[in-house]
Amino acid sequence: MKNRLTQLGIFFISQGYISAGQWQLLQRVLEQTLAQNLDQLDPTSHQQFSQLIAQRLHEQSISGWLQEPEHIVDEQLAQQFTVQQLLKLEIFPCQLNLEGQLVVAVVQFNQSRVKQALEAIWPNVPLRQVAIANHQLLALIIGQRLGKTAQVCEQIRQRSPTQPFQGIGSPIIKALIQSGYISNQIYQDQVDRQVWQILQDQLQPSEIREIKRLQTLSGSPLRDIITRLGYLSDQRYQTQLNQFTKLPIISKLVGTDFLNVDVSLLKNFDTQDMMDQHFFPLAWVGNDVLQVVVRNPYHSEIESIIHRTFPQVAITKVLGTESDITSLLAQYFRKDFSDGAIYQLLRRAPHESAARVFTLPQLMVLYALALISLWLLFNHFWTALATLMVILNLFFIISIGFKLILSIQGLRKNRRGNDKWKTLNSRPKALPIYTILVPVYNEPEVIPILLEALGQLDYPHEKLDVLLLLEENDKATRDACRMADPPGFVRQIIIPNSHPKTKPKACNYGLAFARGEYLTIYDAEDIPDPDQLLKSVWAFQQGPPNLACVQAALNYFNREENFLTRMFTLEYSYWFDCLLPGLESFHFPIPLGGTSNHFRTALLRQLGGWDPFNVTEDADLGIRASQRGFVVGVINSTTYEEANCATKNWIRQRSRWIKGYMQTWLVHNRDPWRSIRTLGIKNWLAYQFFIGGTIVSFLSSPLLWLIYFYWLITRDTWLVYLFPSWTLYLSLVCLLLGNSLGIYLNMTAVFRRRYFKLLPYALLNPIYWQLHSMAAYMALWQLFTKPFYWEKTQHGLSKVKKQTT
Amino acid sequence: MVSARLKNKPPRPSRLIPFTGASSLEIFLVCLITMVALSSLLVGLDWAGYIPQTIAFLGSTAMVAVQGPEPSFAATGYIFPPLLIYGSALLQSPVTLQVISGTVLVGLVLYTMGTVAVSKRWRSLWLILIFIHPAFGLMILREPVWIISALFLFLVMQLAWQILQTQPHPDRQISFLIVMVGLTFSGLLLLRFEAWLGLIWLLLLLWCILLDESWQFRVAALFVVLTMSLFSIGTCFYLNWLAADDPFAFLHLPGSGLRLVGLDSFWVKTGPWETIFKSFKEVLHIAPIYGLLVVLLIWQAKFRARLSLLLVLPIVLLCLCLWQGLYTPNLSQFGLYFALLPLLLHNVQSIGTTKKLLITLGLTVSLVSSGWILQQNQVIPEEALLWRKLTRQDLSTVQAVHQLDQQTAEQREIAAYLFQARRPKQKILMDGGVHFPILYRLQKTAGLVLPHQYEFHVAVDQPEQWVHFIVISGTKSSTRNQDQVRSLLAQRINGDPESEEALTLKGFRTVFNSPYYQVLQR
Repeated sequence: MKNRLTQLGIFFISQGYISAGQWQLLQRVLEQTLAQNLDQLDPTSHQQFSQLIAQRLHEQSISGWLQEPEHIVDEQLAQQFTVQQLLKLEIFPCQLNLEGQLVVAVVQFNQSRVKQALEAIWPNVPLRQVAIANHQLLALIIGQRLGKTAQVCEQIRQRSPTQPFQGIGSPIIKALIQSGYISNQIYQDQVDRQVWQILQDQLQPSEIREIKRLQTLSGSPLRDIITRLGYLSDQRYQTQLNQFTKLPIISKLVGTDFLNVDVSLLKNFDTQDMMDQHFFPLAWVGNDVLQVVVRNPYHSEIESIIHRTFPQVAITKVLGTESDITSLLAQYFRKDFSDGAIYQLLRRAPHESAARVFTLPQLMVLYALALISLWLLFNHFWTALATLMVILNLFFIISIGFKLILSIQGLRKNRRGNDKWKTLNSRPKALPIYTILVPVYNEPEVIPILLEALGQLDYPHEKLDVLLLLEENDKATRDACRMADPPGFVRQIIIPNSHPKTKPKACNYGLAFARGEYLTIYDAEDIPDPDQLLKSVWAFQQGPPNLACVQAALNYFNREENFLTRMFTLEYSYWFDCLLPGLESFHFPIPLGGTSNHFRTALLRQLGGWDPFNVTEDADLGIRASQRGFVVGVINSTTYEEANCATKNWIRQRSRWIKGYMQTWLVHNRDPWRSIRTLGIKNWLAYQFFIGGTIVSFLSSPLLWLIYFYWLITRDTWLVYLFPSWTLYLSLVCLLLGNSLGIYLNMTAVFRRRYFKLLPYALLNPIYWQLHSMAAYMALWQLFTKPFYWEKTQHGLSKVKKQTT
Repeated sequence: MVSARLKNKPPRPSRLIPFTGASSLEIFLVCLITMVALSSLLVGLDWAGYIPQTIAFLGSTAMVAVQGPEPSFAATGYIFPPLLIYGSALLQSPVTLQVISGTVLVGLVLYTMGTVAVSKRWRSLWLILIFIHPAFGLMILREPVWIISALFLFLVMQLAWQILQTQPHPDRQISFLIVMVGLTFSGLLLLRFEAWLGLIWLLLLLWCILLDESWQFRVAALFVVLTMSLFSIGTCFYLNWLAADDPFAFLHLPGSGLRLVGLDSFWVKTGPWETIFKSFKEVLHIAPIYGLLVVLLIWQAKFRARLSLLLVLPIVLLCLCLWQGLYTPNLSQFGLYFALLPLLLHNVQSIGTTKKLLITLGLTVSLVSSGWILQQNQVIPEEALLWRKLTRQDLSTVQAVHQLDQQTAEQREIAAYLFQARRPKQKILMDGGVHFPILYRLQKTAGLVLPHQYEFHVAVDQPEQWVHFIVISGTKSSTRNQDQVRSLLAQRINGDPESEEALTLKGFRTVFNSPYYQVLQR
């Protein structure tokens, strides 16, 4: 035994599983437990393991023994035992050979009970043991009973594995992994190597070379490279794995009534673990035997998770693809996920949810202000109006100054952009899985372009986890998705039909399925810069641990389509290239943009995801992150979208945004003292000016312009009462300096982007701002009448053909 | 082409001013000390009876703008430079504006000098030579317009220099710099008339600096820079149109552009060629160090032509000032060149002993030369007066200085009298554009009747019914013909608006009479 163990040790060391020192440490344990370990051999790899052990012990395996023509299984010998006995003893008597030895196929060598049983039938006959796997034993027993022993033997002989034993799945290896002596990576590599042998026949030499190159480069599991890059579908890979492991495949049963799922069992496991580790517990299949769907049968973490909940339980595995496991999760957790997507934030932090528009104190303040205003108007008419003018003008002046400082800082900061993120290109092993959520609703036409754009992302595709969030009742888009035959890194998540039917709800639902360390959102019509994910990872790796989100810039590909798209581009360029970097550099709260915000998934979950009742859930999330002490940053990368080119559509979209800003402002002002405490006075003021200021600007701007034009035309002297003394100078500064700077700063952003043709259009901003005001009044109306109504922006109106960059 | 050229000539590392020369605390302390010192000095001068004309003008205009009488807007809207008037109104006093801007300038000079690559001793020596230079001192003590102009010009030149030195241009950096140039220069346009034409030079300069860029980029850059400047110019036109129904009112109204009444005989206007000659002569006379550094920098530079365009920008502005007739012989204006010196010194490469000695010599010569100019009274009387007061010299030896001192004393006396004698609801008729020193010293605008008011002409026609005091220029005053009150009253009484006789009005008695002022009281 000692000698054999040493041989085994030499083998493990030579294969690189462990070092000599580690083996020495283990020897004491292994000496006592080897037999037990062999007993508990995983049937999926038992054949190979038993063969190896046989070789190491100078014995043969059944398949090796059958290679010799004179070695023939004698059916009569087995008939000395009942089936139950054979199964219990795990033996199959094969032949009484010419040397007078009884050749017995055994699952376990040198078992005394076996020797005793054989001695009872064939006394004093020397034994020669050959190794047999459980399934081979079963096949032989059944074949013998059916009188087809010869055929079974032939099958065993033909399927004799030629590759060296890798020890995959054996309890010894598992023990070594759990003890930290073998890294999971080495273990996975060994699995891959075995599967690789099988797959070589399926692939072209060039493909094999490319896959090998990618694996060396990115260190990604072979399966991910092969399936996500489309060399083989996940289903085909599964079939190959099935040949190798003999585990049943479940795919055809998923979504049918034939699958036996113990729903009560599911609550014992965390859905996130199931999604991350790719497993799904099905049911108990006997006493202490749990049947589990797994994507990778050799993934030891799954067993650890199961054993944490059910210690000592035996696990029987069935194979399922990532899509199968996703479907099972979606099927059995549909209600939980859907419910969570809507109510999670409301339950966890009701004060942070916009489900309630106004709180009682807010209403009281509102009424009090209205009463005071009325009293002032009736008793001190001119004083009241003049005071209003003073407040508005002072607000505008501060707001202008604030934005000027932000813009200059933003411009300065952004110029320091560096290319260090490119180092990630040379070490893709450092790149984690990246989830991309793409909510799509009634947009079947954009699916092919979307998939093309996603395919152009400069990120190892096997590390992409793209979730297309499709609505249950949106058959057209779902069909389009099916037709487009998405690549292996894309999963389709069907959002159950429920209300509110909003983008944040869809994103929350998708978040439950996200596997990535980082996560981002793209709209269906988005064309992100290919380097965006790399820049984001770099930002997260360089940033502090509480950096929860980085926002990429948004811009438009159809910027020169008409007046509206030009103005929209000017506005977006200014917002994302100047203001947000400015906010970031002062560590002010950043209201996130609609898409291309990249999160640390864990922190996003901590935040409770998006508020489905807030129609600018992104802006709200940015502020909420700051309130919880997280940092939000920006990255120097752009996503190109389709600018709204129709005025009505634009106003609808803008009204939703401004309504969302109103909701956000109200939510985070429910308890101003708390907000000041959590944000700090500096950030709180910045938030008031940035979010509240935007609303006030849009609402008050037309009023001031009306007064101005009225005066310009009539020169009525009564207006002097509105602008007494220095109020006039204040308002002149607002009018001249405010508008000039507004236009100039707007111009600078497109100048930096080298959109030279747009420069003169910046002069037309005062006209464009009036459209904002129209939308603002619409938003104010909707805030009271239908606060949660999602004004869906119609995409695909542009006549400019989208070109992926 | 560009890449080929770059291969042959590797880009010179940028020598942008690193803002690491001093800690925030050090800068704060220096600024605090400067602020206290400057405030004390200005208050001391005020107590000694000296108030700079510019300060008096800005102060009185801002006071009328804020306190009335209505329509106050008309009194201020068309006055140039609006930036200073609005600033004074906002800060309630031009002195505060002067102290703040002076402190910032001194802080900037100190800080930039801290980045010059020489030992502390040399830096300290040069700083002392700059700060004690009469031009710099006089600018800080009496001319907020030049202080703020120096600040803006410093920033414009620094930004342009950065664009020039950052070759090739990293995309984001250059756009930021160009945007900032546009923003900064637009401020200068609201301070000095000559900067309006100087804008052309700036555009030419930028076009040349950006020669490596595509023509589209150059055109766009000029458009960006021009936009904010045009807004500034448009603002002036608009305010004038609002206030006076004449967008160009500020070009010819008294006092506008700080062409203060009383200095008429000192304004210099020259022809094109003479302008260039005189400008260079003045600079070399008062600030030879600037010329020396320009030569040094151009000699060592890579892009000599472009750098020359940049370095002569202040001289170009001086040329335009002369050409437009906005120049008076004064030293304060040249304080600007000394404020720019640290920026130039910072960019001088490898300052060895010879260069150090040369620079020290240049600074010393500048100091001596300016001192000599002052001592010879080759400047406007106000500067000579301040110089002589500061150096405790006899004022009576120079007639113009003596006269100014006498006038100042009379202004104080009149203001004090009006302050004491005027009862509530009593009115004072005067031309604020001419008698702004009295108005400023009065520090009250209640009861004033000024030319921009609706009742002004009624008050001049029937002073016995409307007003209680009338302040007019005296018979020997150089502002006699510009004083609207005196002209109108003289026309009414003597039939000659330019009458040289002292005025008498029925129902009024003369309570103060001197060659320069006459005060009538009902």
